[in-house]
Amino acid sequence: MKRKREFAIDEIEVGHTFSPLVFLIDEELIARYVDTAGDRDPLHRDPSCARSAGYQGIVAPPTIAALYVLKAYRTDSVPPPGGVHLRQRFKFHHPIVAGDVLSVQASVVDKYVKKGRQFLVIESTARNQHGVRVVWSESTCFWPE
Amino acid sequence: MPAMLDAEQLGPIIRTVTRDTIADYEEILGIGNPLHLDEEYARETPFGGIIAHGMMSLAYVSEMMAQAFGRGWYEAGELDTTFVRAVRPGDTIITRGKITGQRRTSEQTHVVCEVYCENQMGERVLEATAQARAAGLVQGIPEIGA
Repeated sequence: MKRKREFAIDEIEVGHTFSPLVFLIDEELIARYVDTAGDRDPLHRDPSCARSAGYQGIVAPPTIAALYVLKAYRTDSVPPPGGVHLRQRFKFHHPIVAGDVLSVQASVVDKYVKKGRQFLVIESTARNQHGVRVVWSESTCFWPE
Repeated sequence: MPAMLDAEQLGPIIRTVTRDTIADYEEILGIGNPLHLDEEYARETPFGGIIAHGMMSLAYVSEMMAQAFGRGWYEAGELDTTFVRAVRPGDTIITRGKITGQRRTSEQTHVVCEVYCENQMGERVLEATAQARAAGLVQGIPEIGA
């Protein structure tokens, strides 16, 4: 993977919007995600099981959002390594199934210094290829010293 | 709907984290943070060694919530997580929760659950409030403001 330029904390202010991320959720990605977690639910592995349960295809665990919300603020440049993720909020609005192409838009919603540490709060919204909002996310991290 | 609904207890989901699962997770994340991959690098950080990405444990929380609430988790779930402590290779992570409240709207019931992951030492690594739509009111659980 080509290493992107690192951004500095001064470059991003509240309201800063990152370039959108287009992210494909396919069966292979879902399989790799549930394999790392050890989740054996056939809804995540067997298309016919997922369809008979009323889904359009294999269902992704909604926390697979971790894979795209962290990428969604690395579309232009990347934060330096060493930051620590402290808090994560999600709202899941719609099932994500294999074959979905998500577009994810992230922006900076807060930036503050507390106990000498620089904090950054980044919000993102993911929509599927039908324009349906599927996930809202808010990540709070502190910046590497 | 799963039978678990009249019980307060969710889980447990018990999983052992290895250097390989930590590396696999970082690989699908595609960020390549050496803190999750490179022991020599990680040893020089305040963590003193490789740790798992905090988000990794969210998969266990999701599995537990999906077992209890199914579609009510996939399309009406909410999660507010604080990462409390690092997860290290060899840790066994136990994920549990309980339904602490419920909120009824005109057509739906949403439950509020207190959820945590702890390691084999009984130390909490993650704490969360999770919400999901439930099939109906859960017996013995207080209702929160209308």
